[in-house]
Amino acid sequence: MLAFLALVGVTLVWFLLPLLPALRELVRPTDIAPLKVVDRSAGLIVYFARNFRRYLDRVLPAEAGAGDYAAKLLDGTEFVRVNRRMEQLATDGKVEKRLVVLDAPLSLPGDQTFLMEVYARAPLVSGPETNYRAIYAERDLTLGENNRVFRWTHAGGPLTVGAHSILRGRVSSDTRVSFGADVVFERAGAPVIAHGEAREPPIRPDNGLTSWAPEGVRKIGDHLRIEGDLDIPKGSRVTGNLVVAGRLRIGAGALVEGSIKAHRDIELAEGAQVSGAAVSRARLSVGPGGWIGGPAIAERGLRLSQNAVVGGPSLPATVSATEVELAPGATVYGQISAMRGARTL
Amino acid sequence: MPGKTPAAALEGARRLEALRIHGHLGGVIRPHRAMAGIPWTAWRFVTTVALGLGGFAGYVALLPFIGRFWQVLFERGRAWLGLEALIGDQLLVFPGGISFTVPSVEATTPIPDLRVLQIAGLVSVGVLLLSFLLPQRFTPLRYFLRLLAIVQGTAILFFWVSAEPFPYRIADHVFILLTAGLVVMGLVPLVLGLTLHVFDLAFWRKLGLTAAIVVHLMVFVPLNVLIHVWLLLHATAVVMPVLFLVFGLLLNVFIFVAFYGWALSWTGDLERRKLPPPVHLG
Amino acid sequence: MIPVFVVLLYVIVAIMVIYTIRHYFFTLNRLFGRHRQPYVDIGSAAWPRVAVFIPCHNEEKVIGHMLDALLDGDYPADRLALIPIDDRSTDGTLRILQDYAARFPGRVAPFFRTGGTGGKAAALRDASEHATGSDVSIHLVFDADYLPGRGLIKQLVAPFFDPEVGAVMGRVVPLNVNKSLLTRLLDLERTGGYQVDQQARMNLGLIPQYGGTVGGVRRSALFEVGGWRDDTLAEDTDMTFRLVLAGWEVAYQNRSECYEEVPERWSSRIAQIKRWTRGHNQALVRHWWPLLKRPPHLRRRTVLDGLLLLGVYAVGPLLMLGWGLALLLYYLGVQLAAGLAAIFAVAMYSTLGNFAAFFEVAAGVRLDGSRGRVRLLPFLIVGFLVSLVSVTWASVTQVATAWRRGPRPWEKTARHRKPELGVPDHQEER
Repeated sequence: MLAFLALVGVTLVWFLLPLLPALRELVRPTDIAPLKVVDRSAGLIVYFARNFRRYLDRVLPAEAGAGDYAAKLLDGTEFVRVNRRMEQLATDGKVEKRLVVLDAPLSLPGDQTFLMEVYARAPLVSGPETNYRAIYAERDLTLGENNRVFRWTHAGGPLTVGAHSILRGRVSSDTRVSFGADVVFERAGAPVIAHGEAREPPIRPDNGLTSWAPEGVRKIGDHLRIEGDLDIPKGSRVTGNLVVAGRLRIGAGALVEGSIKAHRDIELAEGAQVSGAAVSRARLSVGPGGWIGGPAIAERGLRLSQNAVVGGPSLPATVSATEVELAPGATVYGQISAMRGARTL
Repeated sequence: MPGKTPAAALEGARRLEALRIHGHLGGVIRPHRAMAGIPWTAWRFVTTVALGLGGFAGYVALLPFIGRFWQVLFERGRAWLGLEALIGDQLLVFPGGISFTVPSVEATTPIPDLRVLQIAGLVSVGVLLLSFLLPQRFTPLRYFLRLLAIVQGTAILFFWVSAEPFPYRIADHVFILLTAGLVVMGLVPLVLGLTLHVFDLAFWRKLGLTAAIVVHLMVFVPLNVLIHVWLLLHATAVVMPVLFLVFGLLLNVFIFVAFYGWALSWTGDLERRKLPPPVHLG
Repeated sequence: MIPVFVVLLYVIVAIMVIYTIRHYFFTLNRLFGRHRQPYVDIGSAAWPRVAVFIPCHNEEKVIGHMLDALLDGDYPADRLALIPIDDRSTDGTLRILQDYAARFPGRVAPFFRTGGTGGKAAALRDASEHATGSDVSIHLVFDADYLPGRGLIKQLVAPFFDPEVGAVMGRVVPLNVNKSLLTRLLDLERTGGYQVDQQARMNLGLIPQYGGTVGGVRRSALFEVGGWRDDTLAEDTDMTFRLVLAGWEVAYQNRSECYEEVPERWSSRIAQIKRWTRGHNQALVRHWWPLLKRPPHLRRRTVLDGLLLLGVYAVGPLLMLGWGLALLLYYLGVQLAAGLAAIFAVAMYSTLGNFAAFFEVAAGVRLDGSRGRVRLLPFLIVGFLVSLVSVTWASVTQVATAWRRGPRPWEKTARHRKPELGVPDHQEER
């Protein structure tokens, strides 16, 4: 009997060995807090910028008024304050490792790298070939050609981005963002975002269009469902929401008064308009001068041709796709998100 | 950067800036968990296949050794426990021409008499009562005890009313549990290949875990079966169904899950290298 | 007779294997497949008018927190109506709602029920028909114990810009994880269910399930399919399938998270899962045939997913039946197949089969980036045992009492929150 009990004991101990981590976690929990439910504000384009600004409010020493000097923030981070003596900053391809506070309007010479954030209280013009970790500009911000920002960019005033720049993370302005050619970015948000000069939404044609209704449709609630592909003739007007199981083409100058969705590609020809949202499971392209009134969503790529517009001054909207291309004059009133990157042509 | 895709341009900028992953207070900025994924790498794919198939092949090669190890364990166990049984060996032939021996136990299988059935019945009722007396916070245990009592109840019923002889001998019980144990052990590298090696854990950890589970079961299975044999010889075949159905294969699975849960709590490569988990884009 | 038992057992094992494959498929898809969250970045839009319904029956401990959280949200106040539905509460709920209505006129507009069928579905049916104007296009629903973050309403509304989306579901995150082993196990289960299962369905274009809270429906879709039904215990599952059959999509927003209180006591948990079982089985009976007939807009794989989803609670009694048959055949000395093949089949099922659920949970926890809790995985086995028995018992009694009709009582999960403790702030990511 004793031998049996010993065997049971040994076997039980052996059995419990792999259970020790589980038992330990049960008795002395190491991971018992609820998952952090992150507030939606974290998804806001300006979220990191605002956080940084609040951080500065906390750590920038109160006695640090205007002037040129190097010091430490209250949390020990080194920073340099520049009012006039720009030579304090590392230049000529060198790396500035301190956080930078710029007090006066400045034009940076270019060919610099800022490993910490740059905080500009006055308008800032960046030279070419400059790398930033992140920039918070209270007023206008102009980035030169071939600039790179690694985390986020925010300007209280207009933000102009020079050609061939790469802006990772979030790009935002409280007034407008204007991109040069061949700029790559991930997310942008502003009342108006444009490649070059912003365009107003085109005038909605009130007459001259022929009413047209697709055939073989099924009415489901407030939308019409079309199995297969659909081509809307040019110059026609369709009233109602459309859901197309295949590909959807909207002819030149045609107008859809409602929202559209296609399980495959959507193509808006030149001057075609959709008053509501446009959602594609694949690609969405808006022809020259085309307009989408509501959010434009594509699960693959999205292209806004020359002078194409999404949203309007009183109609905020979002462009969201895996990849986004903006031709000159393409304008978005609100927000652009491109997980794999957006590019101006 | 003309010609490059936006994604490639952004990736180039990311490589340039190792510091991007750190916030201004130094923490790692991770994408939200809703967006996280675990993309394949060539290395992980190769190691997954190698550990899965290689592990299985290695296990198959080890089978004769495991058979001999069990043989020794059973012979020592018989002497130590004073079991009234003969330890023999039985040839197992697996598909692919793999053959080896595992221990067999030849012993008279005691059939319960009325008194044993009454005792078993009393114990079962006791267990059932206990399940109702336990506080509510022990609900899983209460349910488990009821399961035990029900299975044991069916065994008592069988021996009480059945005109047919009980279809299993101790030798059958031992044989089935040992071979089932071998099958589970063989499945370990394959199942881990599908469910563990696909994660971004270090190669040596994956290899170590595979070996640890196989070695653990290699020791546990025969020890458990020896306990069964002792119980069957002393408490009669009335406990065989409960031993077979509840304390056999189920325990092996429990061990596997325990190891697996532990392994999945280990730090992954991405985390160790302070890289954010990539986002799925397809 | 024995061959019948054997065939039946094999059929049950085959069904289990199908569910096993489904689990593995979903988990592998979630880990390695293309991730679909097409609406998550809609942050700027002309937001539509929304009504948020909060069914209440004796919710004095939690309803104040809920309303505070919603009032603090970033959705344009002039486009958001909060409609708590008081259904004959006998505690202080009524007084609290009147107080909020007085303090926030035009924003909080309670709907008071004093008669009619009891239950959440009936409350929603009455309120949705009478408490909103036609300018409201989206109806969101929250249980009273939930704690929505500031931007959750926008996130849940965003998918409705897609004209095909009829319902939206967000992710439920347990708040009271640290209360007991049960809450910790439920936290793991929820992780597997939402982070993996629901998101995989979204990725694959299948049927994510509208879960009755942290979600909502398009008003036009709701009324097109006949409104909320009050003769079901799972109005959410029922609505999911009615919408899908009628040609609408259900969108899952993995990023739209909301805290909930999970049951802290096993008795609450058992009651909850029994209620879900009965409701889900009702949906199975109602919708399996229309689904099998495959309306033209549904693909075959969507139909298959729908049937498997409808059957999830029927699997419990089937599995128990399988165990019973296995026990019977064991006593009869029946060899299921020749020697090792039988053992191999059983072992395959016991490890690969059962293990799929653990894989799903572990993958979810891993993706959540909170690894320590996954060590509790082996204890999930005991949780599964309790669920299995409860689901089976609920199914059996449901069949046995199917002929009975009577007044429907309010069935809800017990609340454990202490009002004076308040609510934790939503934490923010840097």
